[in-house]
Amino acid sequence: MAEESLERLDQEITLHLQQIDSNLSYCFSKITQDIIPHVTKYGAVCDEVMDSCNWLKVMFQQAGNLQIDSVARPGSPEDQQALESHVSEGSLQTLFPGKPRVSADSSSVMAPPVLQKPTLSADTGDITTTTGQVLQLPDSSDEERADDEHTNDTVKSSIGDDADGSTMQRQRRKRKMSLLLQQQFGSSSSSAVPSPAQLTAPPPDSNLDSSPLRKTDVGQSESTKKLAAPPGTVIHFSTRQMTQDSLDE
Amino acid sequence: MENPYEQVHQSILSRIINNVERLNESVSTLNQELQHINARNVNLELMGQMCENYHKSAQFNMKTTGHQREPL
Repeated sequence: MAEESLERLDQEITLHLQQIDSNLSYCFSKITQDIIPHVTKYGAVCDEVMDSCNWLKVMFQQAGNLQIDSVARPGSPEDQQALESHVSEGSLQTLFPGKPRVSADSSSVMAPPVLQKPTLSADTGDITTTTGQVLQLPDSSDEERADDEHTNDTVKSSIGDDADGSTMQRQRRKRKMSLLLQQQFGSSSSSAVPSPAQLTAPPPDSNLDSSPLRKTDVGQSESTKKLAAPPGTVIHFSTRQMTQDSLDE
Repeated sequence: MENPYEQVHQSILSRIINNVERLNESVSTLNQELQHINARNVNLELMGQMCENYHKSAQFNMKTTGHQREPL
C-alpha cells in the first residue's frame, strides 16, 4: 500500500513538473516570438509619431519664447499659460537631449531660451549690484546691448518692447550712477560741496571746468576704481548728470 | 533501492531551470524595449499637454475678447 501510494505520488510530481516546464516554455516562446516583435513595431510607430510631431515642438518653443519675452506681461491667464508652457518647455529641455534622434534639432532650438534667461537674471543682478560697485555698470549695459542685439536678430517682433525696456533700464542705471557719484563726491571731497561751485560758475564753463576737477577727485579718492576702469566713462556720466542738474536748477 | 523517479524529477527540474533562465532574459529584453518606448511617449504626452494648454488659452482668449464663433 505504501509503495503504491509513493509511486502514485511520484507520478503526480513528474506530471506537475512537466506541466510547469511546458508552461514555462510556452511563456518563453510567446514572449520571444509574439510580444517582442509587436513591441518593437510599436516603438517604431511611436518614433514615427514623434518625428511627425517635431514641428509642434518647434512651434511651441518659439511661441513660448515670444510669450515669455513680450506678451506674457500684461494678461494674467496668458501669463499662467505661458508659465505652464514654460514649465513644460523646461521639462522638455531636460527630456529631449536624452533622445538621440531629436537631439540634433533640439540643441539648435533650445539655444534661444537658454540665452534669454541670463539676460533677465543679469538685469536683476545688475540692479542689485549697483549699490555695491559702480564701475561695473557700463560693462553690464554693454552686455545688455549685445543681448538685445542678439534678441533683435532672433526675434524681430519684440524689438520695441526690448528696446524700450533696455532704454528705460539704461536711464535708471545712469540715474543711479549719477546719484552714487554725487554721494561719493559729496562725502569724499574735503572742500566745499561741488553743487555751490556749479551754481556760481556759468553752465557751459562749469561743464568744461568740472570734468578735470572730477577727474582729480576720482584720482585722489578712489584709486582702485581708476585702476579698474578708465576714468573717461565716469566723467562722461558725471557731465551728463551735471547738465541735468544745471537744467533742473 | 534507488528511486527510479528521482532521475526523471532531476532532469525535469534542470529543464525547468533552463527555461526560467531563458524566460528571464526575454523578459529583461522586453522591459528594455518598454522603457525606451516609455521615454519616447513621455515626450508625446508633453506635446499633448502643451496642445491642450494652448487650446484652453486660445478658447479663454476668444471668449474674453468676444471673437469666439460657433463651429461651422
